[in-house]
Amino acid sequence: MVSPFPDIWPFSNYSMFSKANPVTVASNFEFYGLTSDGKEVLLDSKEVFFPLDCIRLKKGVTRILNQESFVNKQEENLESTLKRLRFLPVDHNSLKESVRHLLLPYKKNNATQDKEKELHILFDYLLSQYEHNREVKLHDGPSIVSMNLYLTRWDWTDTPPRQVVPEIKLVYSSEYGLSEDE
Amino acid sequence: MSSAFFSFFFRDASCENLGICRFLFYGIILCLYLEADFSQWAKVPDVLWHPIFIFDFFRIPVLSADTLRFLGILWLTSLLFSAAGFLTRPSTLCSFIVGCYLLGMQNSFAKTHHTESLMLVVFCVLCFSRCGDGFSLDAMLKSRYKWWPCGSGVKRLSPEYHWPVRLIWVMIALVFCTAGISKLRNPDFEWITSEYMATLFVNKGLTGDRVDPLIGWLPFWLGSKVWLSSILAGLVVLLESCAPLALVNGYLRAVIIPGLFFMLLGFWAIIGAPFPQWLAAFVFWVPWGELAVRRPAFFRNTRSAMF
Repeated sequence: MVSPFPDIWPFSNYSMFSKANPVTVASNFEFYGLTSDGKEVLLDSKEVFFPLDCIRLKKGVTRILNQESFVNKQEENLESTLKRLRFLPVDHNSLKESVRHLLLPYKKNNATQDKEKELHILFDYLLSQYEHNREVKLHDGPSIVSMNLYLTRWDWTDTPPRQVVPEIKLVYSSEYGLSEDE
Repeated sequence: MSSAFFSFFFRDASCENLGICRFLFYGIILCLYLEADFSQWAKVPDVLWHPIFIFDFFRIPVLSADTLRFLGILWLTSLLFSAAGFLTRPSTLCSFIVGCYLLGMQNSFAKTHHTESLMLVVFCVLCFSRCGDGFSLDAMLKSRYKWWPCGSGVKRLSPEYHWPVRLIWVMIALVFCTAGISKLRNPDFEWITSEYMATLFVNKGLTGDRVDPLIGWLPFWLGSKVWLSSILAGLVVLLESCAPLALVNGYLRAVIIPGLFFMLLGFWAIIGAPFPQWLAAFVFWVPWGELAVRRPAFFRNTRSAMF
């Protein structure tokens, strides 16, 4: 928000949590493992999917599920940036193309994206990594045969936050694939 | 203006302060990454690969598991050597270059974390400085063996030991200032006045680590006190955007820098956003050289008062 261009790591505008957007609805992806006797266990400790941490993994899933909105958001940011740079004596169309080409990597592969296939690849990896980390004793979770991904949503607009009963929706199952809503 | 600039960056200083800062900073970073196993990143599937600009532009690949394991060990060794001040110039250079690759690669998967960026900037400054001249094995070896290629056997005051600390101060102040300005760009001070902080606390309490929360009740308690959350939001914006003032005034520095330190600790405890690498960079604000001189005098006075 300070520099008009997107972040170029390791340099950044450090704009995390900077957009004032007071909402009373929270949502979160949660991974559950299915044991061989059909029991579901929440997989939320830091080491279960090491080297991926929970935040990185949830962001990755969000990107797979909402690739289009990620691209649109980047495009909107780019448009508003270029509006602020109208005073510059340069060709704005070529500037836009250059910035898009160089700094917006998501633009390149949105056309052929197959959510179900990508989630299948990701969940195969997560299952094998969970077992690998269990074998090397990074965590002491039970052995699992399958995994489910749920979207949990808390709406505390009219209810005290700690008394809210969350809505839980199955998003993806490694056994049955992507939920019909998705 | 230019004399103020030169006296800020290029005043004579002893090598001890920079050496102690180097020892503490690299030592803390080494402890943070001691158990890191970078080889596991070779197995992460491409569906999560969203390369950062440098990796995308130069087509830098994810290397094989064995190579990443070797680079991980090399990086940790270079951090250890840098902390100890052993072959300081090559080891600080190695920790910067290898760190850039390993952390850049890691941040190209799914999400780019901001926690490590300041650390790499500090690495970059230190690898161009003479931080191995004081409080280091190199200095010890140089005073004993004149042929030793690194460090300095002569203790003298020099601006060489002052500018790196001051440049790191500037970097830290700019980082916080940009974060503060980002928040101020919301119209009508909305970041402070719109109850955003209270809702952020509650949302983080609900969606945060449900298995092992740091302090489970705190986000909900703070979120229920909207006025307190707004005061905290105001303090955060004030401290962050005023961070550059810490560069020019010692009294303001004594307020702003501890304030920022405890603010980061607060973020960690309340919303579960840890910034340990940023906290480590605060060692550069402590005048270790002066403390080392004052401490014996203090003990002398205390002993004479006691006996």
